[in-house]
Amino acid sequence: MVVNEASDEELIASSRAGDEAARRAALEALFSRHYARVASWCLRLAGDRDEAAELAQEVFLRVQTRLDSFRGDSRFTTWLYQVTRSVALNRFEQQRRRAVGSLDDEDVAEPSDPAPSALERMADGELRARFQQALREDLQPLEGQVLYLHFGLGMRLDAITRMLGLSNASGAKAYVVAAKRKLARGFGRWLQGTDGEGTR
Amino acid sequence: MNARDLEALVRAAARSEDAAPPAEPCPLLERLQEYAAGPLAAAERERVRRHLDGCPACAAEVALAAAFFGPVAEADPEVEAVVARLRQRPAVASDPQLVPAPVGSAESPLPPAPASSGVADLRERRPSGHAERRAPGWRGLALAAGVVLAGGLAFLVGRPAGDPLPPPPEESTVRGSLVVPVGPLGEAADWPTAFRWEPVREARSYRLTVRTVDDRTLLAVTTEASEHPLSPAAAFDRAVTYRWQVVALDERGEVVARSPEVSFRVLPLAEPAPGLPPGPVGQ
Repeated sequence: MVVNEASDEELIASSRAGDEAARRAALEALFSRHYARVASWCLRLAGDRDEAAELAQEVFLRVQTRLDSFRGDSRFTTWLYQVTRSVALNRFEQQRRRAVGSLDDEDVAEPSDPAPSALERMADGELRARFQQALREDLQPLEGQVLYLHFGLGMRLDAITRMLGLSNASGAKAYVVAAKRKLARGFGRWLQGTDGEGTR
Repeated sequence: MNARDLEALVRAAARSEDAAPPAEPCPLLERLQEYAAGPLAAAERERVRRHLDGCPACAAEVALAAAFFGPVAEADPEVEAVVARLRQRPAVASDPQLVPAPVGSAESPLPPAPASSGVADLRERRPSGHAERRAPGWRGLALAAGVVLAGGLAFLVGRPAGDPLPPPPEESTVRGSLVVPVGPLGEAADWPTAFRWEPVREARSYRLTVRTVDDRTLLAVTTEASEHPLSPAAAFDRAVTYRWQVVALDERGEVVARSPEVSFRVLPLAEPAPGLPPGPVGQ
């Protein structure tokens, strides 16, 4: 087999069936053809070539150690993206843990108001439904995307700005601020209005 | 109201099962990725496209994937520089256990990574494997927005109207967290019967860890259920704050999701009125 002409899937098959030299050749060919794609994505995420190189190298380490689990149900590039995304999510989580650190005394300070009635009613089903409705209806699609990437996946705002190609001056931050305002104005004020009376 | 308790309440409400669902279930992550890569059949492609119109969470996943599958500027000097690093230290080795150390790790001859790199730590951990298999969708976004809203609600409760919204507290961000703790959260008058969390579709088991505020581990168990009995006689005391976290594991024992770390405290028993016998102790 001419490795440069083989498909990704053929290279993977070759890496599993051949001798050691063939295995190495197949993997090197496979990885090399995807270096630029992974590097480019990691650069957009990290914004810095050193951090991008670390991330990309971690991706290919992971790919090698887990290649046996690739069953061919999807294209190799789809699987490679899943690994890349997973490595990136782990990195976000590590950065978050570093930023937050372990809980300290301030984090577990005694509550100043043990029983505010409106917030206790967050257990109420209507309240939950109203909250989700606010999420769906009060936010612009791009605001929702930025919220998800930042608070749901843990991406830094500068990374979101690059990934989504946002060209406004403050990038993703502006979308987070706008979403916060809308949620507080809509659902937050509705919640405030239901406080204390026990009626909706 | 403790801000952490407030966050937990909002978070739980945002992902509750009986909240209004999106118009249709979110597609599998793989489907979104295939949509971004292009190989979907026309009918399936149209179904995904319609879903994306009303689901920013899935649209965000598609945007992330599209950045990967789109054209690559191989001639970009920055891309070339990263590729050169990869070629310099290729991952291919005869034994996967002998793969080269990542750039910046202790074994690497290259300059050490900055403290924030985390590569060495990642190598020490069990690999987390695949990403979660279903897009968190609106439920995931609701979780995220719930955290944002916690800052907004704190503002509404504690600040006069008209002030600019404060930024959400850093510790309130629940990043990548897809296991939602149900309870115990915050303060309780009596001992809850169990730690409970919302089940995760892809999970085969859960690892529950309970710690003290000084980071001493009291309990670390793995269970297939989405709850674990809380036995106050074993290790817990009233009037003491405990932290707990759940990690969802797939059939291979690899992490598919994790919860934020939450805390709870059972209130101390009330002082007995003068002349009455003391209440029960040692719960």
